[in-house]
Amino acid sequence: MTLPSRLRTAVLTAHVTTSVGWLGAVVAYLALDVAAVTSRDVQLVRAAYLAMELTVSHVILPLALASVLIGVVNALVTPWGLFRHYWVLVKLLLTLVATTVLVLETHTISYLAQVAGSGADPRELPGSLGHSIGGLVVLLITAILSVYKPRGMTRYGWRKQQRQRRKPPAALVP
Amino acid sequence: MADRPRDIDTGDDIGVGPDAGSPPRMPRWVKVAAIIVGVLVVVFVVLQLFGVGGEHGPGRHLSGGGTPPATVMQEHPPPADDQG
Repeated sequence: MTLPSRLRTAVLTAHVTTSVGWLGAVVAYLALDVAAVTSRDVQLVRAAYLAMELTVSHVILPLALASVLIGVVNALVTPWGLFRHYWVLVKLLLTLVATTVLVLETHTISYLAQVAGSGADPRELPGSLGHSIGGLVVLLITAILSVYKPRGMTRYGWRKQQRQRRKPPAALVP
Repeated sequence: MADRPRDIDTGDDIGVGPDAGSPPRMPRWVKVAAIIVGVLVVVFVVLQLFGVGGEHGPGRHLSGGGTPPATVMQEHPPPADDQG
């Protein structure tokens, strides 16, 4: 199923906006994470953990879910499809893994923020640098895939294309 | 050099070999990426099995990087659903 060009552009715009927003929010989160792990200022570290929790639950998670959902819609309503080209398939898998880890990690970050805000010394908390850097790398890879669109059609995409080529144009069908 | 066959709609090189009737082969970049991901998964599993990386999840954060005071741990136990 493909949508009219104007509607497809709107879906694509929404997908790019949410995806780039997700990437930018992770970079902002990484700055907070680095401050939380490296600073010796108790107030700053406490504030960083609270801001990390807000950023994840109110910005990163909604943007990630929106990006995945709109990305799937975008693939299905364009000739690219969801399973026809390797770059789209790899991007889908990477995004699903990143979103799953993010959902799990949100609980951990909420807990760290809860501990940091409870009066304990937040400098003893270890942050979540591994996940932030890993997430950023995955998002950069998906961005690169989206721009370069490396060649390669899946067997499913090839079969689909063969069927479409064999189908006579609608105007010629009596 | 002759142009490789391209998809009508997307302009994508469909990677079809000399025999246009056969399905395309998996591109090299996909094979390389799959090998890298496989190696990373194996390394992660081995590290977890031998406990080199410690426990994964909030438990690791609280024991490896420093344990908050016992009173805080009693008041705010780590979430039970995020130990993996």
